[in-house]
Amino acid sequence: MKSNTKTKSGTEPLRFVKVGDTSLAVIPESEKKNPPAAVGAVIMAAMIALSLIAGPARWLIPERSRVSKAFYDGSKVSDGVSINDDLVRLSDSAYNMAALAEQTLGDGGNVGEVKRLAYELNEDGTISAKFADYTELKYASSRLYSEISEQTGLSETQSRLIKQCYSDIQSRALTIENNEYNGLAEKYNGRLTRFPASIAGWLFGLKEAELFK
Amino acid sequence: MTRKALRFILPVLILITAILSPLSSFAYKVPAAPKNGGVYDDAGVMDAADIEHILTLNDRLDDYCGGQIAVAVFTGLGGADIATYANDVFNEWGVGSKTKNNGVLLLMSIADADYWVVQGKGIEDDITSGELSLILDDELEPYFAKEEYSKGAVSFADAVYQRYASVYGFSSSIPQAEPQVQYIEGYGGGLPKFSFSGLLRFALYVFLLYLAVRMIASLLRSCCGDDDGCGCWSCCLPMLCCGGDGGYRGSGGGWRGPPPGGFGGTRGGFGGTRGSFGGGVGRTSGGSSFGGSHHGGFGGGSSRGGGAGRGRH
Repeated sequence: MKSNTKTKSGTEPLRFVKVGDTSLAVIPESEKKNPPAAVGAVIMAAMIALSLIAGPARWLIPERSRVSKAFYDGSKVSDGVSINDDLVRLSDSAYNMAALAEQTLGDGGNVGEVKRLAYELNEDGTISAKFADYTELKYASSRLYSEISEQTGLSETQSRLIKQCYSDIQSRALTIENNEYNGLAEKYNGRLTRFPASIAGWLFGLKEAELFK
Repeated sequence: MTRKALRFILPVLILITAILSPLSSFAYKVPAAPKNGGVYDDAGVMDAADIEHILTLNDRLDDYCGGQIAVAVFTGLGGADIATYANDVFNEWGVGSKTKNNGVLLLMSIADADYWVVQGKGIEDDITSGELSLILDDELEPYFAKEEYSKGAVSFADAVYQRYASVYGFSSSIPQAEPQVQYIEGYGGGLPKFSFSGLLRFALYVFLLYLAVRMIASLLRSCCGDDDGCGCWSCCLPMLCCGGDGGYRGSGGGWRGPPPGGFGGTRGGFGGTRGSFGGGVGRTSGGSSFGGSHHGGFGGGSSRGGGAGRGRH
């Protein structure tokens, strides 16, 4: 065993002990006298860090589930209307519009796209998947309506029914925009992006809620 | 920038901000609900008869299903989005029944040449926005394009009433407003336009007035007697004293008891079959001077937005 010393700036020099090929530092006597203080500081730092993470997580997770519940069940239970209900009705209107347009345009292009997205909007279960379908469906419906409006061979009834369906889609989109879910989601997102909730959100894998606006 | 220039610019900026801030908040304010419970006319484009017709429809709707067709006409919306504004107006006024949430609001903005219709959340699956959109196209748009807003509103209200009838299963025949004394706009006192019952009453008043004048003249003559120096107060009115012969000759003296009054002015007092028009005051903006026996008021219904309008599709 071989020992030598190195100077630690401004304090007592450190002593190193060589054990085989490894050098080990020997804690000076002065520092050996206060081990509880160091440990205490570490524990305190750990507790602060834990509280910073666990504190926000305690309300972030329930708030996220409240937002999800508002999406599926509506924020006011007595109303019985939720964005999810509105999305079902919107997809029905979109599908009907595509079916009416199919009689003139065939089943390809925008007609096929709207039908596919309407189907997926109904089938997908998660909010994020529904949000993606909904956003695409709105654009696809708009494209289809523009296309069908330019057709000259439509009967009066076809034309009126297609307009009715498109008005329903537009109206439903406005209703969805006004839904209280969006307010709750905005509030949640605002909290999630603030420190220290942002760290907790990152650690627990919490993402921002989708805004249907 | 010199300190002198700053001294000038800062107060000007503060002044401009102070002036503009209340204007911007004013632009988005929803007005108070009309007292007649159905028609708000800020632009003064609605005919009194058409207002009455819409209120009659609302009376029936209230009886049958608690529904309501509110019509709000604004000169302009100060840049507000018409769909959002219509939804705010609907919820602020509480159109339709509170329990059924089955009201319909038609909002027209004259300056924007735009309109929007929004329905209560209780009826949005029965009278869908798509249906309302077609009703707007068929019933309102032809009139709106010709700036015949009042006729357009009535045509729209009739069509929606019939839609209500099919949803709730009552007769879809349009009820007609009972004959009313109508005001000619521009006359502050509100002269009656035409009413048969009003005409009869007027003739009766004229006849009674004639009788009263004759009676007064006779009494005064008898009071004066053959000699002019009777000391009666009425002799100060030679016009009456020196009438023709005949008439009543009393025992002398003046009137005893209350004078035979009771005749009001020629204006006002024409009580219609469904209530009067509020003390001869002209039609105010918003058409809220119609008292009448309409149910009036708003039930507290609410909407979830949506709806249909002009030029959006």
